[in-house]
Amino acid sequence: MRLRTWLRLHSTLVYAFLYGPIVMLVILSFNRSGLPTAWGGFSLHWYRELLHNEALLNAALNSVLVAAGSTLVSAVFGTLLAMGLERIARSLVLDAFVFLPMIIPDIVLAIALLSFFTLIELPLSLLTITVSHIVFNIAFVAAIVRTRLSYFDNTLEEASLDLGAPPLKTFFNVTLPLILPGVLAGSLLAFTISLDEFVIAFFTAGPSQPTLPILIYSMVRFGVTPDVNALATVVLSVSALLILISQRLGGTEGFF
Amino acid sequence: MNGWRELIRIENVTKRFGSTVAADHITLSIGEGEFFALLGPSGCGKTTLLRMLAGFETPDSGCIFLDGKDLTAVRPWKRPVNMMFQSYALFPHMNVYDNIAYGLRQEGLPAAEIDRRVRNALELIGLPDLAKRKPGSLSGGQKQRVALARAIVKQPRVLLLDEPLAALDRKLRVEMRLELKRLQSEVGIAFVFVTHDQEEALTMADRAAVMKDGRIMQVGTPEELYTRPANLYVAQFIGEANVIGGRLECIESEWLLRQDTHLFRVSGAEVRRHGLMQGSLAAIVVRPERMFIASASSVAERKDYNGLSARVIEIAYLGSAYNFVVQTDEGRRFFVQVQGAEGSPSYRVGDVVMVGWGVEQGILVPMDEFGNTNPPEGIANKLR
Ligand SMILES: Nc1ncnc2c1ncn2[C@@H]1O[C@H](COP(=O)(O)OP(=O)(O)OP(=O)(O)O)[C@@H](O)[C@H]1O
Ligand SMILES: [Mg+2]
Repeated sequence: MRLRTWLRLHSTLVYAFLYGPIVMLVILSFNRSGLPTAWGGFSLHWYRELLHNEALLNAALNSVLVAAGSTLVSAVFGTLLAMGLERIARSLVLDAFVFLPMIIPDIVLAIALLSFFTLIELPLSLLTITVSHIVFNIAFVAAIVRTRLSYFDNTLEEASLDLGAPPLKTFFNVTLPLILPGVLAGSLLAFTISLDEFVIAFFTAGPSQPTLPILIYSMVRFGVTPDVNALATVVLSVSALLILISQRLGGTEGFF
Repeated sequence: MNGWRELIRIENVTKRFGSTVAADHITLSIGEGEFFALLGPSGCGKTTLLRMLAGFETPDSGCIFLDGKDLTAVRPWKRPVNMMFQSYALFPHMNVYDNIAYGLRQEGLPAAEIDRRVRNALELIGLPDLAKRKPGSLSGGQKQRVALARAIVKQPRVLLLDEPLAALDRKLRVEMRLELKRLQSEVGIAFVFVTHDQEEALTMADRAAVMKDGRIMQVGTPEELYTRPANLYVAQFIGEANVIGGRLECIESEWLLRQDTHLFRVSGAEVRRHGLMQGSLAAIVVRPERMFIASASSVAERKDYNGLSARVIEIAYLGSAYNFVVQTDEGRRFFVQVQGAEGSPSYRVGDVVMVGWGVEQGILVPMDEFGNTNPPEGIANKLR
């Protein structure tokens, strides 16, 4: 009994430590006074303010564009990659190389990508951020689709071929519908990661088109305006929702 | 078989996976509308042969013909051959109706025609009410029928079935044997049917091929395989067998088989069937139900019998028959089956009895390179 009480206390503290600051931020976003030290009453004032902050909204749009673009490309190629790894080239070494971008320190990847873009003389812009995000997003999509594929019964495809559907038709009729939850889960995860990714975006962004995390970072240096709290709360809600959906779709076991 | 017309010809087909030879120079013909069984133990290459017919494996060498046309280069989705998978492989995201219609839709038939044929197929398998159900909600037997319907609705020239009954419980399995047989005669499609259950093969097949290690040991009707096995392997695989191995001798124009010091009479016709000679290695195979058992003193020594004195060591009652295991003084064991109540009360474990068989009931098989020295345990003599 005593042990259980301790464990409960322990987990309460851990969760408080993890989520306390976030809860504070959400509460502050509804604080009329805008000061972290004084509660001025509940208000949606800062959310209204946010709607008029063009720079923030633009940055948010940039982030969504990058996230959507990199997710779309990653969904297609990540799925193909997963199928190749599962069906054709079953090798631990190849696996390791595919999943490396997930665990490589962001800063290393960022520097590498920046040098690469400089080398091929590609001007930094939203495109370069998108390309950079594709690098790790492909790995996430591939990893999740693969867990889904490993449960896939290959005789289903053979049955489809046997019944007269050529390979491409078989893929769209049988394989894709059955691994679709995995593809969607992977895509949502990729979208979420891309949406608030900072380090790599910071290195590969052009000077005039910051993504949301970059803009917030630059604002923070001159002191936080309270509408950032509101924005952070919005981003938090969207991310949490996407992760929740992605978990529901399954295939993300072992990632959360 | 009258009116037999060749539909499939497998010619000298070999398939290797690394160092295992899954098909070893297989040559085989299957007739139109025939119910053909591929029978053999696990790993002998039955599935591999079936998959080569379906086009999922390509032979390393040799050819497969259908209606005289070479199928080797024809892709699976172009072959007039359909397969029923051991795991059924029903599409889980489609309902029963769509599963059955799938193959027809690939042919681009008009919707009305597809609907008519799917409904006929549902009728044929006796499940017209399940059209809207998903495979996940079906019982094993129902899945099996849907898989069957999905394959035959395409009206292929040949239907391949990989252990179609293996996943069902025993009672359902026996029912489905009759059902499959009925369906097959109704649709008139040739069935090539894989099983490792010899009873299944014997009761259902028009003809069967017995396989071992990628090779075909014998092809024949169930009766041929049972009464005239080509070798010891087939004799032991099909049904129970008492086996006595030894060397043939011909003394005063009577054929005998010597095992150790004992001589057994052998049918001359059987010796000639295999073209065996004086000194050949051979084995006598006697089916348990062809053996007789009698009280020790009752049987006089006769020219057309082989008789031995033995002691009863085990009796099993089977309802319709009694099984006796007897052992001679030299340690030879025989398995004797007596139908009905006849002879049952007369003997007890430990009694000394006379067992034997009519010379013409003894099947002779050559002991060639396949000389299997592992007869089913407790039933047959060890070959020495
Ligand atoms: N894709 C494959 N790769 C490697 N070896 C294989 C492959 N398919 C079959 N084999 C081997 O070929 C041999 C024959 O296999 P096959 O599946 O045809 O046997 P089977 O008679 O159907 O056996 P079972 O009754 O167990 O289904 C086995 O030794 C098997 O291990
Ligand atoms: Mg098999």
